[in-house]
Amino acid sequence: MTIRGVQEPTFLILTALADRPQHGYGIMTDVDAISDGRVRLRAGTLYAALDRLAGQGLVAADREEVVDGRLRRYYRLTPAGVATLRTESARLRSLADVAARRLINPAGGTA
Amino acid sequence: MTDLHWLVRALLTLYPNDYRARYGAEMLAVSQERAGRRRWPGVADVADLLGGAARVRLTRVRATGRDERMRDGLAVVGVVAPVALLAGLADQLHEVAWYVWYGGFEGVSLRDVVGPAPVWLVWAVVAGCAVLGLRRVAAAVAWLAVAVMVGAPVVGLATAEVAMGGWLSLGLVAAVALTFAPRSGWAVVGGWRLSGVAGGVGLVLVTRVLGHHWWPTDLVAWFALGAALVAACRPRTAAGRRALLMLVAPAVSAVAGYAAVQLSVVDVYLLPWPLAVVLFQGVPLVVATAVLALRPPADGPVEVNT
Repeated sequence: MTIRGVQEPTFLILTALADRPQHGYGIMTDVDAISDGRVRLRAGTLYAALDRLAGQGLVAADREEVVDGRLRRYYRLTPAGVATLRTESARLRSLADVAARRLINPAGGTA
Repeated sequence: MTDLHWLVRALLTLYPNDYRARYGAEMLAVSQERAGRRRWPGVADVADLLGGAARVRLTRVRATGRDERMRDGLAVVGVVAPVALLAGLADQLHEVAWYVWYGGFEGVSLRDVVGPAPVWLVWAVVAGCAVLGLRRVAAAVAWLAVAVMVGAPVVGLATAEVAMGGWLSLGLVAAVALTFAPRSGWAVVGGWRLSGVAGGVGLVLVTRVLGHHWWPTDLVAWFALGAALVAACRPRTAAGRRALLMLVAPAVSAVAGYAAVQLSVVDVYLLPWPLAVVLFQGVPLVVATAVLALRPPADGPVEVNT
C-alpha cells in the first residue's frame, strides 16, 4: 500500500521507526532530534498518527513492557511501511536534486 | 494520583472508548514522561490532546458516512419514512371528514377546511417517487416539503402537530436519507414489508377519520404502524439497526410532543414556534445523530469502502 504526499510528521514517524522498533516517548524524542526541534510531537498527535498508520498497515505493535509502572508499547514498520518510506524518501530526494541542480545558476543570481 | 495524571485521564475520556482502551495507558505514560517533574501538563499538550480527540472522532464520522451498512440504512429510511409520513394526514383528514359528514362548508373558507393537508400531499408525491425508485426527484420534493413545514408559520399552516409531533423530524430524516442514499430502498426493504407500512398508514387514517379520537383505536393503529415500520427496517440486519436508529429521533419527538400536550406540560398555543421546533425536533435529532455517528450499533468492525 502506498500513500501519496505523506505529511512531514508522518514521514518523520516512519523515519524514526526505520532502523528499530520504538515506544511512543522514544518516537517523540527521535522525531524532535531528526527535525532539529522543528517538529514536536505530543501525545494526541502521535497516537492519532500511529492509529492511522496502523490502520493503513504501515506500522504494527511489536512488544510491550512496563517501566516504572508505565506501559511502553513498541511499534515497528511493516514491510508496507518500509516500502512507503523508501518510495517517499526517493521522491523527496529527487525533488531535492532538481532544486539543487537549478540552484547552481539561480535566476536571481547570488546576493 | 498527581494533578497531571488526573487532568490527562480526564482529557482521555473525550476519546472513543475503544481508542482509549487501546492507547490510553500509553498516552498517559508518554504525557508523564514529557512533563518530567512538572505537576501540570503544558497548555500545548492539553490543546494537543483536545485536538487529537476531535480528529479521531471526525475521522470516525467520515468513515461512518462511507460505511456500506449505513448507506443501506439510508436507503431503507429513504423509502419507509416518506410512506410512513402519510399518516400525518390523519388529523386533517378527520377535520375534512367532519365537514363532509355534517355538511358544514357554508361560510367556511377552503383554507380552513383543508388546513395543512397540502403539506402531506407533497409528501405523497415524495412517497410515490421514492417507491418508484425516482430517488433524486423524491429528495428534491422532500426538501421542498421540509421547507414548507419549517416555514409553516409564514404560510399560515402552523399547527402544534408540526412543531411538536414527530412529522417535521421524520420529514427531515427522510430528506437526508433520500439525498445521501446510494440506491433506492425498495430492493432492500421488499414489496411485502413496504406494503405493511402502507397498511399501517391506512389503518391510522381510517381509525382517525372514523374513530373520533377514541384513544384505544388510535393506540392500536399507531402501534400497528410502528410495528410495520420496525419490520420493514429488518432489525436483524446491520443496515436495519442503523435505519431504526435514524427513526429514533422522530419517534422521540412524537412521544415527547404527545406527552407534553396530554400532560399539559406546556401551553402549545403560547410556546413560541422556533422554541417548540428546537425543543421537540432539534434536540432529539442532534442527540440521535451524535449517537449514530459516534457510537453506531456494535455489530463487528466497520467496513469502509476506500
